[in-house]
Amino acid sequence: MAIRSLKNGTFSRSLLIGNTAYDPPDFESIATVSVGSGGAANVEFTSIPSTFAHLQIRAIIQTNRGTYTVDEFNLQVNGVTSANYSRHELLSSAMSNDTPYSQGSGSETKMANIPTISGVKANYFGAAIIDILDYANTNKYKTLRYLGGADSNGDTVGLHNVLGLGSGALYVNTNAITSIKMYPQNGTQFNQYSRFALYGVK
Amino acid sequence: MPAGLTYETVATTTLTTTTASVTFSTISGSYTDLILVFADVKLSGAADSAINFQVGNGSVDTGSNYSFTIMGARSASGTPFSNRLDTTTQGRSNWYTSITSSVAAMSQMHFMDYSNTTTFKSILANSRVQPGDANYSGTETIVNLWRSTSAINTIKVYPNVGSFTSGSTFTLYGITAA
Repeated sequence: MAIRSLKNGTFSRSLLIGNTAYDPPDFESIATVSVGSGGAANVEFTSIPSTFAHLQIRAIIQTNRGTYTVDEFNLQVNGVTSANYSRHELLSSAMSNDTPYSQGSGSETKMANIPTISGVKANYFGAAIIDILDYANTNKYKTLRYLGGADSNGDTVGLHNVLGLGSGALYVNTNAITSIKMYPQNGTQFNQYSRFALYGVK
Repeated sequence: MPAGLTYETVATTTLTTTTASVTFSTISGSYTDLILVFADVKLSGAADSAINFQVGNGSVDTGSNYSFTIMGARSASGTPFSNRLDTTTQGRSNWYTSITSSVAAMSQMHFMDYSNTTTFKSILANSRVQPGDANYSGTETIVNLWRSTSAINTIKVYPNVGSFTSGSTFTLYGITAA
């Protein structure tokens, strides 16, 4: 509640004149999922409030894919599982002195496919930062960008995508994003200690 | 009243003299992630240099416990590059691009889940070296790995050769998840 002193005109948003005014933060934590000992087939944020301008997901990730060190995880929104996404990535393999390559198309079933790592090498976790811009605006298609990957200290068995920069969009409608689902590409679950944190940006 | 800010400044340093390295120490473990931002970081005492970092608990780890994979493009080259370096003694915020006395780095480094004592630590870097010299300018993305389950409470950044110039600014932010 805003208060103005009648004596000296001092304005304050706190109930005690003279205290530092409370300035609501522009970057807020909405929800966090920390995967427990049983693993998680997927991680989903639901009932996302429409009160922010943008969303950011910050995550560390490990899947239970066997044999291969590398894996990816996928992202879908609002329960859309059909080929209504467009997606493009610039990717690096872990091969020395390689040339980055691209993948993706205008007809994809995932909004993002982000490199990460499996538990073949214990204690190795990938990292990802995903920005979904203007997610609550009902006048435009939704778009995201991501930076993600994992370094495996030279493990090259079956190695391909390990570091990626990507963008994705949903073209089926202009609905506000109210749910986000993430799941492994090759493994059947995210392993314990994987963590996904959703933030709102005003 | 809020319990604490989700995104707050932990520490900031603007150099007032030429300095060989910048260290953030006794970093609180109360955040979820850390972000280190470079602004107008330039070089003195050498022609050009990459920017390295080391992390640790108490003191920085100087052993061969780092590795990284990079991807980027340099202004002088029409071909983007990708490479990796294994089992090395430092991580990188940039490698193929370089800072000089007139070409500055503007970078973000994300230390993800830095204080957990269970996983090895991944550090994502998004680096921009400003236009000015096509041989050094460009953009790089790097995923670094520190092979230790220790919590990070010390971060040291330093140029591969030379020193940082006066006016170089380093700001450390903490992000707290719900």
